[in-house]
Amino acid sequence: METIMKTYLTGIVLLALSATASAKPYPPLQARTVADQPISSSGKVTYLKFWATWCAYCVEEMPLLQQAFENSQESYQVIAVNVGFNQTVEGVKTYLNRYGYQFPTVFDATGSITRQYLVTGTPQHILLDASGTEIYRSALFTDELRQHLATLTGGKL
Amino acid sequence: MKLQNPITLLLSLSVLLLSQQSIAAPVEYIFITLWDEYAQQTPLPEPHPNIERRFLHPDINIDKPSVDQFTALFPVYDGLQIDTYNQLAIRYGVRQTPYRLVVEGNQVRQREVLSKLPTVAHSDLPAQDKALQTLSGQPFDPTRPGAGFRVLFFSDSLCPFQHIPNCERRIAQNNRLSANIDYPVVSVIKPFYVDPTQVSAYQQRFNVNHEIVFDSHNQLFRRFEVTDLPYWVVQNRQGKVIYRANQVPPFPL
Repeated sequence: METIMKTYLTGIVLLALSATASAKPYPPLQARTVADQPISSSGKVTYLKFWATWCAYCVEEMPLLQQAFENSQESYQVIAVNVGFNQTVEGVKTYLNRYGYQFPTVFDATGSITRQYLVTGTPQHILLDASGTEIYRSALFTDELRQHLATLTGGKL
Repeated sequence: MKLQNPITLLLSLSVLLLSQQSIAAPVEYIFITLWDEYAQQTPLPEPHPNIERRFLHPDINIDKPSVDQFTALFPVYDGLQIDTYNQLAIRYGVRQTPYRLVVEGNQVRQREVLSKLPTVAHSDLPAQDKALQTLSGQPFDPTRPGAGFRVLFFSDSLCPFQHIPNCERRIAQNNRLSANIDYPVVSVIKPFYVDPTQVSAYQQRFNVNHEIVFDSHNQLFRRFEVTDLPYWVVQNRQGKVIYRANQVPPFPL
């Protein structure tokens, strides 16, 4: 019985280690926002949202992104990445101004950020820990995402 | 060095010439986004008799079933392929659709935008509260569930699709729930990128035997603040929400 238990525990530890090993951190995102401010995910818990103004699901969720930004304080940073496909920087700025959204937004002109984070659809929500390792990913604004953000802020959304 | 016989040499030369010719043959690529084409079809230029036309879809917000469904409705786009990993779009610097390229060898001979950028997303339109009814014509009042509980199952007729994970399994779970409880279950369908025809197709595809509401102005999704899909909400007889989650409600509550 003891041998079986040891084998079982060893298996669990190996599985956990292999899972950790496979979760490689992404290289830090270094970019400039549409307001021409430098921004980086390096060393910070970061909530990335990939979106486009033509994406109905993305646009519907934007007030929640603004809310997450306002509640984030020092617990995480928000970076909205506009995927840049069928978009113009001016169009994105106009959209953000129209609704008064203040979260930092990066325009992915060449699609390189979208590729870096293996994003093939919008919206896409990605939570990264301070080392750049993915904690959570979803297409829509899920209850689990809400819970992750609430945990980071100690209770608020 | 071993000499080859003349027939082998001739054959090799022919294959080489043919392959060079096929590389050099011009190809016209037309990149489209099918979700935009549903809203407004792009007027396509006349095909050139000597140039092969290939339709491509950028590798974003797309999957094979969506392509098949689209080409069945619009046969003019027959043969539409997904530009996997956006390889050609990246190679030729295509960042918008609809877009036309003529490529010969590796050189772009012509490039043009075929129409202006899409601007307004469906959900960016003003909110409206309208009288709702089910597909069978029954009135649906979100504030009056009737006697006992009512289950609202928020779903999407684009299922199966990447933004609705495990939707087929969860629709089946909801069908079982509907068959096993004595309370009404109503499926509420997201309006983005679909019309009533696709909602009826969803009903048939998934053998849904309970009432379905096509939430054509997204008002129920707004009212119940549902952003996750598929999603369950249970109301009590007063209309108060007593359960909400992306898991099947565990009756009895």
